[in-house]
Amino acid sequence: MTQLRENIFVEANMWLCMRERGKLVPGSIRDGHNAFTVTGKNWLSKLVAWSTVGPTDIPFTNRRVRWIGVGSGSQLEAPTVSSLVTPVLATATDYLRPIQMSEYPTSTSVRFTREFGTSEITIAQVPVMITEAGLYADVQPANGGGSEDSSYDPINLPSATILDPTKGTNALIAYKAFDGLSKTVDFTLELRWELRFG
Amino acid sequence: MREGCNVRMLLRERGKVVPGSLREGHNVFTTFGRRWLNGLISWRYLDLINTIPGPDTPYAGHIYRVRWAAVGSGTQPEIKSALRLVTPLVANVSPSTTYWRTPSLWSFPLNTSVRFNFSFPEADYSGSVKIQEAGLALGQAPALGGAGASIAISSGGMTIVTGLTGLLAPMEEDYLRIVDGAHPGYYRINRVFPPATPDLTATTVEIESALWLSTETGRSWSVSGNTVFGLPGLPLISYKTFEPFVKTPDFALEVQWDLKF
Repeated sequence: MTQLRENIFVEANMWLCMRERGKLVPGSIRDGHNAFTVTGKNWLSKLVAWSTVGPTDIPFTNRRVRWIGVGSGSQLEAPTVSSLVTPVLATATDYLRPIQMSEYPTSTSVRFTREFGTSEITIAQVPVMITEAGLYADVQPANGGGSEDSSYDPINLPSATILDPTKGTNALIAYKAFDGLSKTVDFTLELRWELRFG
Repeated sequence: MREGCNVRMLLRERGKVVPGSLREGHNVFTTFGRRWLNGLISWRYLDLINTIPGPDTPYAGHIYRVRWAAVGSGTQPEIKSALRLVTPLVANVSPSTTYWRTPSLWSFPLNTSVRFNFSFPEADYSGSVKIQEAGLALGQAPALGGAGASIAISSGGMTIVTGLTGLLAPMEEDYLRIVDGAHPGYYRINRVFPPATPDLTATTVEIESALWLSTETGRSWSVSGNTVFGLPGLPLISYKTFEPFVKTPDFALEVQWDLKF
């Protein structure tokens, strides 16, 4: 029986395109399966469980899907991918941008969308080649996280789980490499990421 | 736990395994569980680095985590639509009726999996009871609130208009929600009839369709108060049925449940 499986499969699919004044730029669609990483699986295994069960339950982590980032490098789409090869600044200071919309195309899948504006990524006003993208789980640091959520502290907690969007080395939960797209200041970049639980 | 298994349960008598009581195997991760995961991994509102006051906010009802397990004496196919135990067993009636136990231990045997251990002591279940099914459910401490927060259940017991039983089929519901909360959610409702339905003997059938509004019992589920463990019908995220065994007051029951990603 196919429904009885050892693992809960997380199928990740990414779709992106560029638009010029709202119209699709011909040849700019990229889509396909992508890798849900070991980091993502580790995050899910912590997310579903309470760290402490009692009068006041405490979770291991409160991180949820929060950011999307893009880059100009490329690597094999494998579960072992840990970060973008060559992250690209989306704004003057940040590599990661928050998702703008989450929707539920079916009851067992969720789609996250981010549209990078004309001035994002191309902050130097010159075309930027985009060849990879990543999805990230995080919590607003001011929120406080679960028992294992920690802010970046290079001395005491070098493996921070709460991300710093100003750094390009954040650990991603899903990764996609694709044929290069040249983003210019005329184009917006729309990126949709869908996770399905099979 | 044997490689490839998700659920393992056995009886112990004074610490020793009761011969023939070991049950191992896969389980089914239900549609309800998938729906819960959808919301669990998503933020409802984002605090866009302090441009919008207030913290990130998760979906109400999707803050629950795995918290309960129960066993039953019934059985049903291990399919995604399995929602509740068929015949849940009362573990204890003192100080209050209890169906569900919290995990006694949980661990991470792999980097990508979590294991919950549940212990049902000798005193649980009065007399000799046949155990043939088990389920995993969600919850949170009552102190954290949660009253009113709910997760929609896709298939509950729909109230069928008398006389039309068998002709009406519950809708399969998809829904779309917008993250900023400014827009009302809208629902897309559909129903796919498999080839064998309607169960009619005529070779050709005239089809007409209608949308019926109805009250659906168990339409959503929420944690409210201290009595969750006393509710027999908690929706399951994971279900397992197996060859039955009998638990007597001499035996303790151990249940080990893995969720692997």
